[in-house]
Amino acid sequence: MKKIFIALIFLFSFSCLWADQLEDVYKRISAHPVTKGEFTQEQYIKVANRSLISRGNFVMAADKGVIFEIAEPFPSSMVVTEDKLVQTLSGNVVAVMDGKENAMFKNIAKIIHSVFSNDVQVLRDNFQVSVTGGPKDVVELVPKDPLLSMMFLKITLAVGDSIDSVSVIETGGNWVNYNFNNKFFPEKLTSDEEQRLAQ
Amino acid sequence: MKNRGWPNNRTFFLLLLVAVFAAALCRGVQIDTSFFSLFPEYSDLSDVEKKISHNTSSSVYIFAESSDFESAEKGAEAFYDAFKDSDVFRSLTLYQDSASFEELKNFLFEHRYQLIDEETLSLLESGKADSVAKSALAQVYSPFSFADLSRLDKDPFILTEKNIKKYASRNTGNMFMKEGCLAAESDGKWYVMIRGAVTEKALSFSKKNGIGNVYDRIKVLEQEWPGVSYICSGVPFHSYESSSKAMKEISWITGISLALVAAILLFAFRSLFPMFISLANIAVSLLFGLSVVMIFYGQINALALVFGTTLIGVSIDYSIHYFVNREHIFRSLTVNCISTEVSWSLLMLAPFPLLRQIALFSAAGLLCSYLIVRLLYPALSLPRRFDLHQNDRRLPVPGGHLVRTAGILILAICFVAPAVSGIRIKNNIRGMYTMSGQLLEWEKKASAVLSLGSSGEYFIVSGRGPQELLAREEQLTAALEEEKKDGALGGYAAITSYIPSMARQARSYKAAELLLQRSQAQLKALGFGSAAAGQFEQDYRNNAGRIVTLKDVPSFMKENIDTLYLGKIGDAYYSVVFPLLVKDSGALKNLADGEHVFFMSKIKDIEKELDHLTKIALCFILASYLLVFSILFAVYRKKALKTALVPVAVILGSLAFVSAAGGGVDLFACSGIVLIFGLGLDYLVYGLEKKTGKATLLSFITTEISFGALALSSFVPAHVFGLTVCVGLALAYILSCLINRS
Repeated sequence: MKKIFIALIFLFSFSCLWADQLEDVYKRISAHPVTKGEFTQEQYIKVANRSLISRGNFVMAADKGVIFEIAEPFPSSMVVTEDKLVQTLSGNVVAVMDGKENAMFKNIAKIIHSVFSNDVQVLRDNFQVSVTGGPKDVVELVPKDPLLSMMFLKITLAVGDSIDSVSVIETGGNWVNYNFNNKFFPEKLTSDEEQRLAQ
Repeated sequence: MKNRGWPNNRTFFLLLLVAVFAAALCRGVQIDTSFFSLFPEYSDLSDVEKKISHNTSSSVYIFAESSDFESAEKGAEAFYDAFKDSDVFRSLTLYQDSASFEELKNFLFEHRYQLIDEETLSLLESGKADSVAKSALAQVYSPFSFADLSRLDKDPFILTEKNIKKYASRNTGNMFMKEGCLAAESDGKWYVMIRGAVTEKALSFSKKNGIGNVYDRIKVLEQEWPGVSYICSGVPFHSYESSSKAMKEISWITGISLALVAAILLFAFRSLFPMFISLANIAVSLLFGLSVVMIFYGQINALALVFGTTLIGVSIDYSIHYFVNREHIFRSLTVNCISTEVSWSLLMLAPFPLLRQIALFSAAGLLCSYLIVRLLYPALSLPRRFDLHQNDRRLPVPGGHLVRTAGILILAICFVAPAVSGIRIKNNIRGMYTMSGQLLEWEKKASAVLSLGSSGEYFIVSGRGPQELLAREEQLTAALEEEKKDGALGGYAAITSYIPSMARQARSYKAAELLLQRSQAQLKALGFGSAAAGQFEQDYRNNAGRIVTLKDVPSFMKENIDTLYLGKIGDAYYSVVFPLLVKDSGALKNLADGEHVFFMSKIKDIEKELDHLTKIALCFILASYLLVFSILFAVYRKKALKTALVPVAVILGSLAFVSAAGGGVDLFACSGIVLIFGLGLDYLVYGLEKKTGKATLLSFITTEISFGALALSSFVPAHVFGLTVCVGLALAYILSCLINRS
């Protein structure tokens, strides 16, 4: 009983500590209003027993969202904002989750947006959070909602000065790794980027 | 004495009473609390309408509200735990099982070739299979697309994924899944929704009414969970509120009417005997009216009972006149009973269940009261004749010239008044039922939280068979899509959004054949070997001839589907399509052909139908005027002609009053006028029989008490009806007195 009590105290202390660490991590991420660079996505598909790799550029605006420009193997783009996820192919929208049309889409967009922005409260509301320090801070996000768990089981971020990598473990044994390289930190977005994130 | 020589009739009447009471007891006394009984049957599709009403009349939404999600969820959980095993709800859902999502995915995967979404189908049919393939590859290689890739070898064009988003997000409004519950955030508050359907038993009127239990439990839960409050929405709550209010009103209207009538009888006759006999007559007549309604309808609406309380004031008249005039009054009583029965019978013809019940209740009760007076009273050993003229001092009456002048003046005013006030026929369905403050507040909040945008307008689609029905519905939804682009509406709920017609499914399967040519390249781009393409083609061929039916639909969608698909009613099959977030209902109305697709704007249609009924009722009044005066002329000859103008003046005066007071003559005011005509004639008949005076005054007062009490009802139709009869009868009485005295 005593051991359980002590374990609970430790657990509580760690959860408080993780909470503080999470804020520290996201303060560091949002210290750069804009982060740009290249990304590589490696998507493992269990049924094919192989990984699909795509590459491109990204623009991360801490308070506005993220733009992924996929250059190869099939050019397309994905814009994640607080209320929608829009995928375009040759300028045409091919898939959209618009929060204006549906509260469920709005919630999903808000949650994904929060992973890249300084919206710690949304993360705490939707995930069991743990943070491990080291050369890079590792943030593990496990969804509380069973519906979100149908989409992914865990999101892990490795954060130095900014987000270095994101790993998403999906159901059915699939996983996706995103690596963010050659990063630079401009002061502000271009007007085109502003427009794309505002739409 | 003639009447004492009617033992056979008396015995027959007593046997009839016993038989009617026994038959009613066998059927059981059931009070209908349905909110929809308020509305008339207003279209040729009344059976279809009834089914739609039945589907929606048991559904409820209960929201637990709190400033944070956790508290709202706990509040919802507490409510769910309290009622999940009770007999109040036949279904109650708080948690959306994650298995449901898996079930949906499997369903859409199994039928991916039959259920291709409209956009992809359009691309395929225009030969753009390449665009479909590229779009799928873009989604697979895109970050955070959340496409389910676990069956990529069998579904390389991710046909399933496109449908998942469409099906999962359908008609959810502001609600979204959060921690297994449907939740919404609005104005800084969290709402967790519980959906349910109440049982028939829960809606029945009794001390243990299910909705009453819900209210009681909510009070307890709000104390146990500080910061959590509950919002209740749905027809059963309105049915409960209107029926509870009706039952309370029956109690006090009956109480007031009976107490005042008893006091007046006691005061007038200075004896307990007439009072007790009269009250016994009223009691038996009320029971008889109730029994007859039970036998014919199997149940009585609570609101019909509110109206039925007026029987007290009407049926007492026969007793009063008998006690004063004994057998000498029988001819007048018979004529009066016929004229009033004619009035009620006319109302029985109205295609309005509530009005028909009121009319049958009152007509049967009145007939019973008349028969008691006619057949049973003469058999009683009455102690003495109650002469009101001897018991009371006569009131000073003005001279003949003055009376004639006053009579002509009032007649003139009655004839001129409608021209001044203007008679407008106007029924206001929204005004028929006023929600209590709390229920109104709840409905406003629920509507804001749900934000489904349902407008009360909908389409009914028919077909000779299910496939013809679905095909017609698809034509309608295609037109609705066009209107959606033009901004006339925001969306719609239709059965074909879940299950397309066989023709549409066959079209979908055929179009998917184009993907076979692309499958090898597609699968290669996704990292699969050449064998996968062969397997893909085999899968496609194996799906040939498969058809998705209602039975295949995932169980959690069945509730929605049951609301939309009405099935076979009569000789045809029907479905209902609900347009959502309607901005231009005129544009939608044009989509109905009136033959197979009907646009139902319930409130407007009912109001239009009620206006039509009101006009018919006015024609009925004219017809009954001619009929009753033919009877009066046959009985009283020239004397009847003298009074011919009085009912016309009373009707015109009453119509003018209703128009001036309420802004328009509605069906209930008109029904009141029908009754004024029937009851008002009584005063004229008593005058023709030279039986005016205190007995008529007394019967007038008791009738006014009954309808006056009804005018105090909070139920608008009862108030309008009571007030109209009150004013009309006063006019009829005054004019009858003036005409007879002059």
